Amino acid sequence: MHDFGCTRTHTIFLNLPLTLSPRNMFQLKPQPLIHFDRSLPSEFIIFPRLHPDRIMRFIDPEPCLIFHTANSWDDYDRQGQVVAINMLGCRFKSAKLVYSAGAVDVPKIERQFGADDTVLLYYYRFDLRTGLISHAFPLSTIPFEFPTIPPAYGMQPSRYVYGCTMASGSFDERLGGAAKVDCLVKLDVLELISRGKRRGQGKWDDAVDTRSAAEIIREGSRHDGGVISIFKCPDGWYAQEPRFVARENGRGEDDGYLLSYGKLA
Amino acid sequence: MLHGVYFPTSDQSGQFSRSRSEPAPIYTNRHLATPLLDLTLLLLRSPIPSIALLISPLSSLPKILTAIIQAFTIAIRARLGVLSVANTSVVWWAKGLGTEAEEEKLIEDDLGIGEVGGVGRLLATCESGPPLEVRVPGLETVRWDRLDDGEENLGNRRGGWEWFKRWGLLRVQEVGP
Repeated sequence: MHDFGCTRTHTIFLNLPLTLSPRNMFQLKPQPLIHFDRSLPSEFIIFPRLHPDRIMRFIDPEPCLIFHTANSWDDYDRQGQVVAINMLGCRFKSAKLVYSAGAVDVPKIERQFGADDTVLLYYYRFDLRTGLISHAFPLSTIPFEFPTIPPAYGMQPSRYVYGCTMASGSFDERLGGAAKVDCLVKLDVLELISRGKRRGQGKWDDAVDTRSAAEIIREGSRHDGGVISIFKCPDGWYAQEPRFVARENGRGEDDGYLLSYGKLA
Repeated sequence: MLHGVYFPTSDQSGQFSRSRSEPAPIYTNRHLATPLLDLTLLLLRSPIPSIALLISPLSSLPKILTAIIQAFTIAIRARLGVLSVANTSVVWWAKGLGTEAEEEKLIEDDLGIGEVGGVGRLLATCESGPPLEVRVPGLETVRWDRLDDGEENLGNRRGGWEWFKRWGLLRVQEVGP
């Protein structure tokens, strides 16, 4: 597990089917030590912080990979009880990235599932009363990774999430290959989530905002604002995981700076 | 390795100031002095199995076993039962910060708890071990920091693992992103 989610009251563990076990090598059909097992579902284990005996398991039958969670927060009812947990994470539908990272040939099945796979900012809502995932959908079709939020706004329904994307290409390219982050992005996640919820409950494969990164960049140059803003680095420059630094005595959640290392190719 | 950018304030500018009011930021980087670094400098290659070795179906069993045994020798050398590097966030550990600082102060004044520990320190954290204290601004490694506040520390914290679990394969990690 590379990352997990925390709300004010609960902890979310991501039990995803990327297995690391010597037992893989001694199966009837031997698998490598690190193996993405498509027969297993994606499981989210949620429990109140400090009470790991009261776990609830939420199952999404589709196997996926989530390396980074952006933010997680509670939904309260009128009596002040927690009724649901919301989580935003960067979700891959295939394990192509892990093979590319090791410069190992991607197996056929992962290539098949990974053919149109991009890492998307995905929204989950876990309903604690029913024990089911009430909503699950991607917010945008742009490749999105390395999310960051202002530290003071974590574990709450913060409006903005920042991260990395690319004008073209994807994060699954071989590390050192073409996965070059040339854009920083700011998403109004609360607006995107409410638009997505209006479509209805359940799991949706289609993103709320279907514009590509290139389209958003083109539109952005014409008018400011909008739910997704992309900063494209100047030609030849590349960025990486940013951090939000709040302005001293700033007004508002997004009053601050994005700090990142830049590289001139 | 840790990378850092130091933003000097205008009164510390000294020789680095230019004609502008703000002095230029200074970049530095430094390796963290962990047992892993010692073994790497000895072997002149990574002593920990890479993702490529563990995920490729073409890797041979002897190679994988050698890699795992080497990883354990570091754990033994470290006498911590874990392989600790700094591969997750750095944390500034201090009192009086954040949105709940005032609440904390009121509770502590009530209970008569005084200042415990240093004023503020930079901790490089790791998924599989205790934090490592690093000096600023030079990024020199100071020591492993088990967050000892007198009664409780990371060694005896609530939910600590049994000895056989701490030595299990779950703690063998790739030094990842």
